[in-house]
Amino acid sequence: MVKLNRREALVLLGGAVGAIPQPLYAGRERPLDVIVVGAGLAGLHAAMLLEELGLNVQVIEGRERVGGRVYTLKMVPGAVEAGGEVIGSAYARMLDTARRLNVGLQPLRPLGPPGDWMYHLGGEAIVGSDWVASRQNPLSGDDRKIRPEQLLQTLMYRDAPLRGHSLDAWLTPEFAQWDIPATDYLQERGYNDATIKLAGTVVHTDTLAKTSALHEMRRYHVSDMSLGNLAAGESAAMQIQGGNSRLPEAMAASLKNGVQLGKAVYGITTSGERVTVQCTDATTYQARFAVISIPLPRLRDVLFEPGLPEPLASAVQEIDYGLSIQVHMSVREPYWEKDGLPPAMWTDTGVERLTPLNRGPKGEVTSMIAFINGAEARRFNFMTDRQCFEYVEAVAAQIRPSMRGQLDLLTVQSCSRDPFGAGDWVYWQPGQVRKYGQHMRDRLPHVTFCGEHTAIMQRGMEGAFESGERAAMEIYDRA
Amino acid sequence: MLERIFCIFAVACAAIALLGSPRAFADDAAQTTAAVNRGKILFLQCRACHEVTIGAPHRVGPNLHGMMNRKAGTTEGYTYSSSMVDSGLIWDVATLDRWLERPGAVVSGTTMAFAGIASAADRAALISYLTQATR
Repeated sequence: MVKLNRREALVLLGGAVGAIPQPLYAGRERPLDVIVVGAGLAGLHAAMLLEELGLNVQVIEGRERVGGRVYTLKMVPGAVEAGGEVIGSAYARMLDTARRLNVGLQPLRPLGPPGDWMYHLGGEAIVGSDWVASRQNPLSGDDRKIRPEQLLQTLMYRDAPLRGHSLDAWLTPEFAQWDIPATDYLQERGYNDATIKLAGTVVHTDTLAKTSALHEMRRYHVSDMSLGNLAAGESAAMQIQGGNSRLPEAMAASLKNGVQLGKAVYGITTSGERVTVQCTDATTYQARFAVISIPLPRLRDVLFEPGLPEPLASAVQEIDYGLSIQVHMSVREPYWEKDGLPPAMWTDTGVERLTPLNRGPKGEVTSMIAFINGAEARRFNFMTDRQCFEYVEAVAAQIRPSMRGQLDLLTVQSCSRDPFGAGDWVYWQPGQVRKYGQHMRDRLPHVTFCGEHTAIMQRGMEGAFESGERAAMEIYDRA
Repeated sequence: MLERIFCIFAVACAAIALLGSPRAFADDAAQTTAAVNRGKILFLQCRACHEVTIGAPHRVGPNLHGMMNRKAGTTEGYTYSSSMVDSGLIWDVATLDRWLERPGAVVSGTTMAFAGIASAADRAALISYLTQATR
């Protein structure tokens, strides 16, 4: 990464300001107290709280939409969620924000495939109900009943040391001994290599060996705890009526200064009591403080002057994010009626999971998705959207002849292919929780970081809210 | 006799304290108001889960009305973690202070998803606010 010294950065900055006769904050009566970079849930929540606390806040966002990894695919029938989908009943801040903004909630629609899975493993096709007896099943005893898609979660959370502890336990020294490769953890518990390999199919990062066991068990610990307290008749999980994107949209609309879109940030300079944020469209913003909510892979391309303190600077460079790609398609004929097999495919091929989605009002099939994550997702980085679809189409026809000629491309969605997303969510490698876990909330005197990767208790969407709240309180105390 | 002299002495001291330093009382009151105001701001971190007024519903966390000096895990209509029910805690100022510093350190199996408040002054302010708002 090219590093500019302060003088060079200021020269650049001077040029940029010179090119734009009216910086965007000019003309406002009050100078900005806080500039928030990133209009995902974390940035928007921080901005709403800071405004409520009386500060003058401007949110800027690189994409042409708000919401970040909360993104309802309106071009796919059934309004499929590309990212954050399940709102746990203990997602307190998210539920509270929806309530305050009068954004309606509804019980979660069914997420799984319609009917059973059809497995395609080791070149062999296996109907779900035949899994227990299949020779591809590497497990023994009662464990043979565990389905491949449930294997990782079941094995990682079975008797997991984090169980029964508070949500911040993963950051305490007591649990650092589990900050080891997830593969080692499973081996120590006596699972064979074939089981570990099969379990790893669903891991979002390259391999289970590159994933901390502590991270993996934390995922299930948080979702276990986030079921929360249920009143009678209340659904355990919710979603936003009309799609989850409606919440960040309502949050953005509630802000006095709104959100400026299309503002890709490349430089953040602190000079004296001012933070200057430079965008690639040659606009700049100045404020007393900055809240930076963008994910780490995106942060790698931002020049900080002065630079980030260690070990935060190394954490930004080294921490992995989950990789995945979704190819959304329409399906011409119900191919499963032709061959009489379960419609959904769970495979160890390059398309991994291939299933109809039943998001119609009565649970009817509305579209089709190929969902590939982890190492297998990497090959798509070198393909156009059309090529991604053609690859899926070819593999589908090969493993399921009835699918031939039945699929049409709707859209390709991938956080890891998106320059503003650059990954699904933070994925701690073995040893990184110990090394960086307590440093994700480190800051510069006028710059505070938030985003789900900085959350202590929660993960995902509620983790984003938790982190935005922490950032807002930190800034308020310093302002 | 000695007791009686002591009593008179104590009353006299109290009278002097009352009459002699109205200023000290005003300062105390101002400090309390400042703490309550600060506590109210800190409560932004609690409000998504907790109501404080009588009759308001339980949310993700229980309504806190009447919580001071009550036994932990006993609010009617709210389902607590078994760790909280079995904790035997009484929500007095000292216990709340420990709790708010890091809830997981006090009740390890708590479902309260709050990391805690590092500053002792902030915890005291929040407790001042809670004392007043949940009364």
